[in-house]
Amino acid sequence: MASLALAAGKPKEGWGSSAGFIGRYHVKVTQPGDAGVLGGELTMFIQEEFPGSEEPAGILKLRTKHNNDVVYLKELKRQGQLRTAIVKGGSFLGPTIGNFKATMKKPGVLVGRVATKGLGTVRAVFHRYSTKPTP
Amino acid sequence: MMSAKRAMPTRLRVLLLGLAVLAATVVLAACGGGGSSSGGSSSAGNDNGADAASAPETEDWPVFGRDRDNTRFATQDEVDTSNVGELGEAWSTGLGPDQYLMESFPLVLNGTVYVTTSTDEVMSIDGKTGHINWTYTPEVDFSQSTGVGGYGITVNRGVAAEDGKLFVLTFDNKLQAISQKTGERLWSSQVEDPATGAYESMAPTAYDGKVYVGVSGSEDGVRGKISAYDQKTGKEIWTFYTVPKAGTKWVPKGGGGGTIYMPPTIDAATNTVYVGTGNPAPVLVGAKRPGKNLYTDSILALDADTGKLKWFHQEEAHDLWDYDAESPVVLFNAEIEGEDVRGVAEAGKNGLLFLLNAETGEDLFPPVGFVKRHHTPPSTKGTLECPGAVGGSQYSPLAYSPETQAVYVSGINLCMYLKVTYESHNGEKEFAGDRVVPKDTEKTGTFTAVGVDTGEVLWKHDMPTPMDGGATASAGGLVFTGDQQGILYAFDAANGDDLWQADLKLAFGTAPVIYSIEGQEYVLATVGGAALTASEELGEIGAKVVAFKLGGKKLPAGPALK
Repeated sequence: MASLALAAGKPKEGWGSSAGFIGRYHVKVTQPGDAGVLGGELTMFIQEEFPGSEEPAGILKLRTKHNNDVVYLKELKRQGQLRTAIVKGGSFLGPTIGNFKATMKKPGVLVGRVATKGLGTVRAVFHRYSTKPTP
Repeated sequence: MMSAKRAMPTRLRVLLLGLAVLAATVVLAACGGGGSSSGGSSSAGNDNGADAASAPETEDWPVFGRDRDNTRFATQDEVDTSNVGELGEAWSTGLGPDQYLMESFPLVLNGTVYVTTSTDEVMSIDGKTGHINWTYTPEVDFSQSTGVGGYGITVNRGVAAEDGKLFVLTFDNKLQAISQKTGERLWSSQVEDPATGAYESMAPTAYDGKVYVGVSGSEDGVRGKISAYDQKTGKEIWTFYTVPKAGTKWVPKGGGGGTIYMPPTIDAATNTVYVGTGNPAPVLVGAKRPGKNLYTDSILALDADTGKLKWFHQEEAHDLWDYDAESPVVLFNAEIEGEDVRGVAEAGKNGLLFLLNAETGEDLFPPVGFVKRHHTPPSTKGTLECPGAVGGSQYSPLAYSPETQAVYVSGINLCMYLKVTYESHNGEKEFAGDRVVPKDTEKTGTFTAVGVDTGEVLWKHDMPTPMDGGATASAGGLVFTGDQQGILYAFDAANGDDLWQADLKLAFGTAPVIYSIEGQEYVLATVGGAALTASEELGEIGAKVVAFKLGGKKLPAGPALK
């Protein structure tokens, strides 16, 4: 199977230059949204992006009673303790279907929400349990 | 053109096909089988597969390609060339929130549709009403779905069924058996370690107490393999590795390839498993992997009981362009220069259709081109490859009609710019370079009928979008296919006349299935786009199942074909 464009250059702003966000997170849901999200997992691969890059940034899996919902984080940005991203459906190159916004409460803990067309607004706490994004 | 022989009634034709298969079985048994290209020997096949090898007069669509030959030829003829214009929507069912891809090929058993979603749910749907009976939602680790446009993307191409069980592969490499009746999980087996970079996208094949599965992920240096598992216990019976272990023979450390993306095809008459394999890795740097790189980009014929290689046919030796032999193999019966010949067909990502002798793997005819082809070895300066690595024929299944003696090929015209960088990227660490679809590149498709008795193009349509979903033929003289705009087409299988269209608004990453309930014929489409649709923004994406029947609600047609 094929993969598409991969490119490099001067980094965009991203979530910051340290590795403080890379890894895997448990998702503890505080507001389940329209589809009734029960829980999930966030994996962050990088926290800086490069012009033209189509490398993965983050993968968010959310589970409802009957569905696995998998969406992709791109265009990472930061402002103070706030971390934001757009949410894509289908793949990192898919259409934009929502957005992600969270505040870093302390290292390894993000509190915020993800909003998509299908799920509505889901609020959650993201606890990092591994600094490795791979299994 | 259709000859008098091709106009023969379906039942008679099917009977003759069955007799031809039986005759071929007897010859094989007498010869003891055997391969030519690889020099491997085989055991003789059993002779109880003649019925399975021909298109059965079933109401259902019980296996991936409807019959064991994987023909995607439905024997229903209620909907035909004279009345297809009356085809309309019977029901439509959505497949859940944020479902943005649909590469699942459903099965239909006892009037119930079984379909997977891109996130590995299995759904049981009433084929008459569209009501969801149950949904099986496995716990899956999707964290390695890091691919962009194909590799590692979360798609699931369907289930296999046998003996009251459904078999599904999850993205994180688990083979699971669930109850066909209730959706309850019966067992789960890990078929590969996700830490290797391997993932699953294919539908498995169930046959005679075994489940046949492969693994995906050549771009990450995954070592390809096909394995047989016990349907009752989930335990491995045999494994055939398609390439040597990394660091041995031609495979460099970290390299691999020969992975598998679509379900194997079983010839019950000869007890043979046919399967296509993917590219070698590192992908762009051929100097690191000398020789032909066997058995990448190949069609393999294996003994179904032991996994022993009978023969191989490599479609692209020492591949430098990611030209997988990815689409599923189709078996057919041809008459060539007065002789009955059992053949296999496969359309590669290199844009060539291969028609081979099923017994030996030798070419029956020179490969038939179906898209634009020109490419040179990739370099550090950059080169253009046509078709690109998402071009030619991807996983798209062929259809074969015994009435027209033609196979129907979905093609993608989409070139890519390749550049060797030797760099390792997250998600495809053994690609060794960049590939980009130029902004002004043509993104179109083809749909081609090729005669299996002659190896010649019978008719061809230039299509407005890449054709990713594959084809389905019927005894009504029709062949169905869908494009990336969401248009479902019904062509006259004999001459390609564009007889009917329906605009579903969601792109096709699959081909329809056909079934009947209480004498009513349904044409069922699963739509929602493919990895290609998502990556190239070729249309709206979502996911739903839509059933059509005569007299159903009319949907608007798409634009006329040029």
